[in-house]
Amino acid sequence: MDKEKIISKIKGQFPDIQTEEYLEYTAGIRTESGKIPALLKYVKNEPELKFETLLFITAVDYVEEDKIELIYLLSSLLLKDNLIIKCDLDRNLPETKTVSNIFHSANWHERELLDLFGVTFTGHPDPRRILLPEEMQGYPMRKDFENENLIRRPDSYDDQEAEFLRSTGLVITSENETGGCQCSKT
Amino acid sequence: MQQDLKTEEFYVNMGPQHPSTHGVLRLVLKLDGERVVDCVPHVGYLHRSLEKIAENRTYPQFVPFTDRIDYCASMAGNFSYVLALEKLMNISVPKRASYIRVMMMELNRIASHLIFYGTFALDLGATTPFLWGFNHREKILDLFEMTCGARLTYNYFRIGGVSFDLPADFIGKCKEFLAYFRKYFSDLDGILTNNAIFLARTKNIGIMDKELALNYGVTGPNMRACGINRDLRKDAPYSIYPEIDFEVPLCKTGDVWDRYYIRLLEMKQSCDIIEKCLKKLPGGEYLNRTSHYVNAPAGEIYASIESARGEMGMYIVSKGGHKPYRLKIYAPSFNNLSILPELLKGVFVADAAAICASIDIILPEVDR
Repeated sequence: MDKEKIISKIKGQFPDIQTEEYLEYTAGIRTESGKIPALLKYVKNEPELKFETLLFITAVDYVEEDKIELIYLLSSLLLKDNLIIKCDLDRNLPETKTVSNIFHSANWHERELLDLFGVTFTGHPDPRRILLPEEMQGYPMRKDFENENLIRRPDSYDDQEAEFLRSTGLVITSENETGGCQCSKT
Repeated sequence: MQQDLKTEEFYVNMGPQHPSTHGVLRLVLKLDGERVVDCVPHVGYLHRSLEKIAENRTYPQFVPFTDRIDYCASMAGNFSYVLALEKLMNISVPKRASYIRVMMMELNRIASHLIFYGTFALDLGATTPFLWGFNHREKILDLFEMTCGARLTYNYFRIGGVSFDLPADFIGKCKEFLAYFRKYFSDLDGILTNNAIFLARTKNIGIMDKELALNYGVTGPNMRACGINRDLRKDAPYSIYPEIDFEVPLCKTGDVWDRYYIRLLEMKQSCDIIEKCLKKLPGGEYLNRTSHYVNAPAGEIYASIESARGEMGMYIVSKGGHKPYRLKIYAPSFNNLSILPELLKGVFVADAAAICASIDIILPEVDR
């Protein structure tokens, strides 16, 4: 089953999900955060899909858009394929329902998100920090995290390095030649 | 007399400096006499925040950091990272480089499983396998050293290839190693596999059933030990694995013995894969040189490989430019460790060490 079929199959049950077009290799869908548990239950139990394994949950902090995006990555033995489910949370009060009652693996991943991003999962059986000490303040994976020990590299560093790499002659493409971004496609 | 005895549950700290936790893992065991009632793992002692570091480095700069995700099989970290970037940037990899990569991956898989073999036996009280395992591993490290100059953290893969070509005498040395390893493999097998004491310590202990494994997201040899046929080298083929013919070994029950035996079988399998690669090894370039300094297009990508411990993947979110906006490192040991409390319920403390060793976790991968 290719990714269009997977998505259309899910759309039969959940008509209001959106397709993530830019995920080139993996089927990706987006929904509201409240519908995640129902959606996960469906893809897990549907005999034609059988996404029985939740490999991980992760988050991306979009400061400018003022949102935290959750990414659920599932895997199916039957289809030998992955499925990505995304949802957005309010960055100021990121809160959603736990899915650890559906997938046991969610338990630790949700703790990690609580730890690093400050996302609260309501109904989580063990809401503690997992990697960082309990007395830690703030959520380090957020883009605006500040700490006296965190030193960001100066922006000019990149220009210096680029200049150096160009001077070695190893670089064939430069930004001027290809118009901004991308290396040559072969 | 029996009724006068008072029993009560008590807590024991296993780790963070316990030798059988293989790194810095702290298990708080709730005991009732010799039996484990409950177990709470505490991780994070090796947390280096690699994902945050990645956001502040250019793409090629992060390759050495990926060595430190799983230092027993550094090539896996390298591989999954460069594979994700090559997919994202649409960079082609020369055939020769792909063959070198796969050979290195498989050699590294053997090296990693040999560490497992040694430390697992050591946790059960056998010293000889430990020395043998590490001795044979040295030979593999010699091969790595002559190829890329490092013995533990290789920093060998580059976006678009590998950093050095194979040295002239590599093929001969590698064939020598395969012959050597096959010769001693029967010794490795013979000293443990059917040993009566070893069987008594491992058979029908710590059984992980299929459903539990799937629900906890367990991958890799641990999963195949329960009889689930999932190997990314076959199921979602990457690099040149489709060109190589090999079978995925499987076990049935998913007890400690199966998890040990599957790794022995995998070592044998890896030897065959390396041999086939050596036969097919093409000439030509080992690095796509256009990719030395790269900007990635905006987009998102997930790429994963079958590392020595399971599925290792990288999720990269790029907004364009030469740094990732977000890099998620998905390492198999994180999920594999989370099943441990489930397996430890009701077993003896001595078996707890065996079970903990048998799932072959590596802590830097859990903590990242």
